[in-house]
Amino acid sequence: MKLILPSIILVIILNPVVNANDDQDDTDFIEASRLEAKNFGTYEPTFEPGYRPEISSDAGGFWYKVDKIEERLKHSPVVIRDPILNNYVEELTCKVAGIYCPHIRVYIIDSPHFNASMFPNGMMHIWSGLLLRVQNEAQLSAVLAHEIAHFLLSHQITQWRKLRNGAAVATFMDAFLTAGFATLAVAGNTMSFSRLQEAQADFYGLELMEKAGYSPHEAHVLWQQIINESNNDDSKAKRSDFFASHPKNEQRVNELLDLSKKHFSEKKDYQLNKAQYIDVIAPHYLAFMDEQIKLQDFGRTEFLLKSHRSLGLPKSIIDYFRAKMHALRKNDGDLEQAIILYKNSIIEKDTPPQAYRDLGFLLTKKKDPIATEYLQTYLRINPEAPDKTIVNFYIKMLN
Amino acid sequence: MKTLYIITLIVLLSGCGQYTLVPAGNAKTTAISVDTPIAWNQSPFTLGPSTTVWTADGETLNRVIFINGVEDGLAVFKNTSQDITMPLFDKSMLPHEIEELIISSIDNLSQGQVKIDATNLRPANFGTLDGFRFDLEYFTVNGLLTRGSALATINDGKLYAIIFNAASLHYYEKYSQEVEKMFSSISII
Repeated sequence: MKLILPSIILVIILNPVVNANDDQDDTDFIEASRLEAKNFGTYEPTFEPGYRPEISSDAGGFWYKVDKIEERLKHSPVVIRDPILNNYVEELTCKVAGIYCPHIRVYIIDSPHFNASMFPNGMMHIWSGLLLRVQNEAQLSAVLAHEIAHFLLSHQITQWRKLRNGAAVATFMDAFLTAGFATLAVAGNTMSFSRLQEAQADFYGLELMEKAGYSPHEAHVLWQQIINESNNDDSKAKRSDFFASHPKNEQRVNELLDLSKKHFSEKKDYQLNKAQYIDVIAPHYLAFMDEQIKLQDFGRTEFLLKSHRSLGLPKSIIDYFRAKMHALRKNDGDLEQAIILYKNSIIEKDTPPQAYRDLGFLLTKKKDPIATEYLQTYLRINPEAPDKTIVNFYIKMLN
Repeated sequence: MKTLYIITLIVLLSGCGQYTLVPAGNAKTTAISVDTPIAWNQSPFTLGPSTTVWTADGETLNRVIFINGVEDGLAVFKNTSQDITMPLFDKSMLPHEIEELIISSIDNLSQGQVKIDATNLRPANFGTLDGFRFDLEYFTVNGLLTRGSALATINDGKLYAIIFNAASLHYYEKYSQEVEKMFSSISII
């Protein structure tokens, strides 16, 4: 019960203040998980729905500050406001949170990294990069359940009271209140949970998602996917993900796998709801991937595109982004490969008009007169294109 | 001895961080000439070896950045983070690629934390040279809505540009006419 602090799992972009001793952390996590597994099935919420601390208490003071952050976030351009997407994530949150649902408010944050966080006053952040990596509704429920478990177990209060006399909390709050949302990334890691708390949230999360009707087996599948993707990270901004503040090792996957097998039948008719998930995400796929491409992390992008193809997302759009990735990477043979992939994309139906434009741009650079055809097609499909002036300029230049 | 240290410290401090006045009239950077109807203050802090920064009211409120001929293969701005490196200029870049280069470079000044909308890319004269312009808009990491305009060209394989950005509220409009006059009088020295 009592105060709940933010379960911060934010990316470290500016100063990768990642754990200095990962090996030690991993060892701690293995031990914490092993011991905690014995408590599986015994977790209960530590406060009543609607709990709010007295403003005069230490907890109340902190809630007040977090409320101010939420007020600011409500008007921030980083929030994705599409009602269908928001309703979908909110409804799923409610299925997992049960009677605590009315006290949780979800904000979908426009950021290409894999992340989510839960705050003591019921504010929850889901990053668009997470939606790009989750492959079905059950996997999304696994993340939500993990965050809700931290919330219900009041893990934040432990961390808050441990850290409140130190500089970490001050840094964190100052970043929130004075430097804007984006700067949270810098301070977030100072508030990460203990390994024991992470293990508890993992295990309680399995129970919550199972109660909501989703296969707990999808939790370890998701973490394995994220580890596999992380192993493909060739960006400069290493560890810009969930693992910046969460245990990384395979042990976590193994613990989740073991517990799932032990406590939950694989034969039971759990929901995956893959098709429903893809239907909701598909209209945003172009925008979400556009942000991912801009990170210029070609290893992760390539990994993601392969997994998206296997999910059944449109080949035309996958090929478009594969082409963009090659065009940006510019290694030997990349531009030629980009041209092939753009051409593959435009022979499919549902090609994004930008595929014609970007292919036209590439060929313009090579001074190939065929570029004109692609640029003209782009303008024909998209007569009100915001960049039509420069496209017309290139057509004129080529002629 | 202690007094000597204090005097040395004062001398050192007074020698850094000083803005210098750029009076109204014709003004020159190391590579670009403009006619400015108003006075500016030249920042002592450069964003890169080929940049000059002017401001009227402080760099968070308004700023004119001159790109004074970046050579092929070099970055427009110096790196501010080991983790996010600045993109490199390539003399074969087309206008849409230069637009991307400039907005990525500005974004990377904020460690990739701002999302810049660049619009209205169009051909424009850079003095007597063919160039192009585009507009930009973004929220800074502090949440300040910022608008801007850029004019650029490639000449003899080098990138030249002038970029104006200012807080959308009040400051952008306040100086937009003056900046237009600077854009229309620009030339490479």
